[in-house]
Amino acid sequence: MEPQLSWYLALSAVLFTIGAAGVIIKRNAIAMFMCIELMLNAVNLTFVAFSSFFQDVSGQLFVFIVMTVAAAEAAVGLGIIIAIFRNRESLDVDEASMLKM
Amino acid sequence: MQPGRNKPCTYISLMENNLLSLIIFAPLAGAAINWFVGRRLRNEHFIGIVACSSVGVSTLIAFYLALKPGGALHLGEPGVTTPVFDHLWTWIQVGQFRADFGLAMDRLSGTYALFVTFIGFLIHVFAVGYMHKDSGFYRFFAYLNLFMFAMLTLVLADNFLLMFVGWEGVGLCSYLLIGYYTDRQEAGDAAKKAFITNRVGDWGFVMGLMLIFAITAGLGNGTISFFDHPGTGVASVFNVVKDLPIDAFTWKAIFAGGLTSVAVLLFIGAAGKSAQIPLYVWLPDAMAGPTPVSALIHAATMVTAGVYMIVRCSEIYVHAPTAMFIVAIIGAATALFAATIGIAQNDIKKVLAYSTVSQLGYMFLACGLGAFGAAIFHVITHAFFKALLFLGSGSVIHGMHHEQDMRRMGGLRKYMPITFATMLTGWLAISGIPIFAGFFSKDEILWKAWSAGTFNLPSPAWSKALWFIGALTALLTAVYMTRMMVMTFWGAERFREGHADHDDHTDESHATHEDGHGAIHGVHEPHESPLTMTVPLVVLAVLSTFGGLIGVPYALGSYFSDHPTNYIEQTLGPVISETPSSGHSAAGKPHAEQFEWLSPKPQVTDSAPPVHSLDESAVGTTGHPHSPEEVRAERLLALLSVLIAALGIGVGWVVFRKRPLLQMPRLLENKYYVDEIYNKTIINPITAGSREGLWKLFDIGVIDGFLHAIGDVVTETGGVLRRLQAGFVRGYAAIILLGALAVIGFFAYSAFRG
Repeated sequence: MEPQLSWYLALSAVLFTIGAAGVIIKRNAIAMFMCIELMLNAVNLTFVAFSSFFQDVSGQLFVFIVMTVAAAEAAVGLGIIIAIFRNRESLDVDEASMLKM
Repeated sequence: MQPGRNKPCTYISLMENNLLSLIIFAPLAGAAINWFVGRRLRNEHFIGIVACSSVGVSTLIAFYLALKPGGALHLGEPGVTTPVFDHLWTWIQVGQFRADFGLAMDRLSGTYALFVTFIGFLIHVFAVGYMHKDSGFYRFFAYLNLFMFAMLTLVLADNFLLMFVGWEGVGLCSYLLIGYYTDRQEAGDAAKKAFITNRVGDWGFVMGLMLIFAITAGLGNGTISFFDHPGTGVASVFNVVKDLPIDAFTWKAIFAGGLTSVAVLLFIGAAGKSAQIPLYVWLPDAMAGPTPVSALIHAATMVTAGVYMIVRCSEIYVHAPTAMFIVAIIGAATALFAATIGIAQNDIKKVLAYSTVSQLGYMFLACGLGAFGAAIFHVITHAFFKALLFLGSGSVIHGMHHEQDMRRMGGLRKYMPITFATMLTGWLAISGIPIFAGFFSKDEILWKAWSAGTFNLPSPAWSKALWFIGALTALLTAVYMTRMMVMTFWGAERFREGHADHDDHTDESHATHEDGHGAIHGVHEPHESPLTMTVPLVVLAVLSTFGGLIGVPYALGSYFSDHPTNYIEQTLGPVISETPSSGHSAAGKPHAEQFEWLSPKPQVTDSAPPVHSLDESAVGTTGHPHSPEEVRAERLLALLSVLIAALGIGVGWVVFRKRPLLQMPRLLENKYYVDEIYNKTIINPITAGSREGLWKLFDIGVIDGFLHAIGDVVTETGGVLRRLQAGFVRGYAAIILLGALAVIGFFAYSAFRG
């Protein structure tokens, strides 16, 4: 049985939902970070699936861009997380709320 | 400055026209140099020379322009009464309204320019000595020169608006110079008082100015110019209104919006500038300024600007009998009122200040009676002797080391012989002793009051009543001037006495005059002033003595000559208007002819056709017949004036020679409590209304309330909105997610529907 486009999209939706739910539920900054990566990759999967379905290479180009951005984001994000950890000895994002009024 | 004018003019006249503007701009240049250069150099010689020479230049040019052959004041040549014009630039031109920056010297402004520049020059010279070693030397002379600029602009302006510029300019300089001693509270207060009181009058001036334009525009020729300018098509206000019917002599005419309203509004302006009831209160306080300022601005020149303006507008006034009546009444009331106050003042400058107010009242009385020439004559003689008296008092104050209280003077005759001798002539002049200047002008006004017709007076009895007030004022004037002279120059030398002796007859106002140099009082002897102060005094003394001879009336002049010349009347005749009934020739001439030799317009008819003086012996040079009865009456009145003056001096001498420190009535010493009444009835309500109504209610309640309301709304909204910013990252993430879901949901929903 040939894999259908909808299967990829369904998998992607599941992955994205898991990621989004994780971002909201998790308190650990690194875990949240990983969930964000999960969401990004869910989107990447969609891109690739559509690219293959429509025989159009531009979807794959977008994936490369997203991966680049994700890598840069990871570098910056991890740097921030390390800085927060050094300051607060904790990665709980709910505690990092000093800027609120 | 504008060679391309379309007026045909030769090179000579062009040059001379530019000279006219130099009269006003020379002092301005002096002021600028002293302000910018003098303040850095701080060299009294430099500053004094710049200040005096700039005014000196004005003086020389004014005399040259007025007296050269064909000049504005050159007498004896028919057909030379055309004013000298200098149109510098067109200032405002909107529709019919046109105001030029243009100068004009006719006989009236020429007369004024002469004495303003000349007396101004003398006072500048005097001030160099008086202000010696003052820290603000440059500032003083910059202001003084600026004043000369403004005053000459006022006088030489050829339209109402430019005159108003000068009018405000002199007001500003007056303010600056009254408040010159910035370290004295009372000087600052007096300056503000003068400025604000003058604003009340200026309101009248501006309203009158606008009404003039409205009236002339209603006649199809809107103008505010004093003169006809055929080249630019500008007509003289006075020529436009001269054919209007004379307003009815009723109170209603004041509010009718006609010429009577204009005249009354202009008189409000004049009353402010010239210190008439009810706006006179600033002038006595203005004595807080340096004495040369009092002499120049608050005696000789600026305060007579109101008289100048009324005489300039004589054409309007002769159409407004009600306004003339008001002017006469206010003038007479002011004259008498101020004279009674003057009798009880102890500050030498305050005496002179009230004397000035009183004499200004005299001038307005003359204006109100239609004796415009007599008013100007009195302005001139008053400028001579009052400047002299003020400068003399300045010399006394200088010699007494800034003591102004006459109760601490006495016996100064011995120490200050020149000051004494010169002030003596001023005293005799203002008291009205014959030959001295004040006699002729005062007598002229009294005679005009006595002989005034019923054009602007309800009944003939009024003219006698006004004469009586004038005569009574003359008597009081002689008394208080004698008191001042006696207290200052005769009697015991009270300046040696310590302070303790004075406490029983001093009051609070007196304590403000000594700034703690009482301790060194006994050490200093009074001394005569330096040459730069005494020379102007001597010059002014000569003028006070002989200056009145320019206006000897026919009745007195005919004692000495068959055809006496009343120069002042002859000079001003062509530029002033006459009331229909005050012209003695009314019977013989139709009205229209009278109005022909009116008003500042180019004249070709000489006012004194020689044929008239040959007609009969009783015909004077101005063309008025002098009937023998009138001459007799005038001579009698003159004799009476002399007796009144002598009586006044006699009373003053007898009463004050023995007891110079005689306690005067409290009511007079406290100036009828007018300041207190004004404070209670006008100033306090305004202050309270401003504080409670405008400030607390309107400013704090409405304006601040509105702004605070806006601020409060923003704060409240922010207070609600900030709850969204909880600081929880996961919360933000959830919001973003929900937002995204909402957007997607919206599109999905629309897609399903559509």
